[in-house]
Amino acid sequence: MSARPAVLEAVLAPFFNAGLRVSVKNGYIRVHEVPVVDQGRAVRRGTLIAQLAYTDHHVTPPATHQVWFEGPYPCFADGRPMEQLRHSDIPGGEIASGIPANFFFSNKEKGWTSYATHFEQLHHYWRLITDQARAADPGCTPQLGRHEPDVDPCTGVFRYMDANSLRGRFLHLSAKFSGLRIAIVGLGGTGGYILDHVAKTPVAEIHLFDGDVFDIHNAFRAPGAAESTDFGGMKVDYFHDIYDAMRIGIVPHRVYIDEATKDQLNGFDFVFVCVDKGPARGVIGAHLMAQGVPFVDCGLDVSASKTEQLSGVCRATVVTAAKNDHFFERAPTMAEDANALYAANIQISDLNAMNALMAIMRWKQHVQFYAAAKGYHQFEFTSDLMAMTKSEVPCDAG
Amino acid sequence: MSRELKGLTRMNTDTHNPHDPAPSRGEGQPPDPGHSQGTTIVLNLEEVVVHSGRLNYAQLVKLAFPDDPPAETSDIVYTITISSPSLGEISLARGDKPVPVEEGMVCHVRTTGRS
Repeated sequence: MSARPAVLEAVLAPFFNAGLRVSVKNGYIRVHEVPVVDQGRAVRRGTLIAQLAYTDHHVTPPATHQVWFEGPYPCFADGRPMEQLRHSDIPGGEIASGIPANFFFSNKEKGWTSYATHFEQLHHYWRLITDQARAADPGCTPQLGRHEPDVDPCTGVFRYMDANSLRGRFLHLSAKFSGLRIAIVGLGGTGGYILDHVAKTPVAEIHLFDGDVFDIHNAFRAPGAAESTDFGGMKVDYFHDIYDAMRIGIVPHRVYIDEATKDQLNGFDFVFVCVDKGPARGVIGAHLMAQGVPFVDCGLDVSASKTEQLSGVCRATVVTAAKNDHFFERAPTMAEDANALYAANIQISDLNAMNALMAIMRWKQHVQFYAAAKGYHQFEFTSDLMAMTKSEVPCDAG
Repeated sequence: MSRELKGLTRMNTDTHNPHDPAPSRGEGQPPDPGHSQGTTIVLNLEEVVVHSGRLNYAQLVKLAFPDDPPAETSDIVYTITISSPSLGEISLARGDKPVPVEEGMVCHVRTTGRS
């Protein structure tokens, strides 16, 4: 993303033309030097703030009528607080990194439906606040002169801003993923859906390990929709190319993890193990435990009943510093048995996705993005009951 | 293929599995006292009559896969889930206490290795 995409010119021009000083940073647009009456009837300066989500090619219109304010609480010329603006105070005095604010405002005209532009949204509050300032001091809103808007370049792993965390006002929570280095071993059905969700968090790096080719059947248990020309290349390259559209930091490794390559998993913050060979699962699990790397091992079974209905069991086995003694009793590390029951190799995309979601949600508990009521390290979902079992709680956690 | 265990009898209650040439109905060892009628549970999507008050990990494996090696010592790891009226949804691992057999119990004994 360039420092000041052309698409922002239409957003910024009305502020510029009105002689207002405006800046853009970390998904917020700010109007500076807003004259405001404080409770002592003195005219001071504040800053109006609204969300501004954009890419190099698109600006999202204002999502709400609400704005933030940094400065003294705005008052009428006689010093009475303008209660009609008030929504809430900002705990901590900051709404995002580098964006200080004291108050959240909510005020709209009768019959308001939406603002087409950020200028309309912010000017509504600007007018209410500065009208009182002008009543107290008629000379307080001189044209500030033509300030070039100050636009900070977007940084981070995404090729456009994380407008979801911005809009939902949880950027500070999403920051818990920042800097993490994640590995996904095995990009079959389950690994693909795991990538689908890890890619949408701001982790620094996502390393993909798989020595297999993306073939036609894989399209039917992978997220998204493959094109007919997508087959025959490596799975890790197929998935890299798709998710590279959204973010940087995806690193394909065209290898299987085994005794010879297991050291490539050293040093990751978390590993998702989504392999379907028992011995490989055993090598990977033992190595990650020896290295002290936390991980979740995924696996599922799909079986048919005599009446030709399917039932799935999805398993997620979690290993962390708090608990690892259950791994070899919970994760199948034996060589494939020749039982005819498994020979059909039925796999269904939603069961792969379910297994992936179990792993993803537990990982988000591990990084304390989601709350965890208990420290379970083993989960099993059965589709016929739509039920989840939870077990393997660390001894000291009760 | 034997479908019998000491105290356990597997009874196929509908058309029998083509992989299983020897469905057994109502035969088997003398049941435990107090369980003469047996208890019907669902195991891997099939109804099974159990003549035992409790089942552990290895006994459930034996009931589900009679031809597999003894689960107490085998290197096969099974994922066993149980939904029971009194216990709710639970997972059973090797070494866990046996669970009481109840009418309405739904069990899966699977190897969960696919990805």
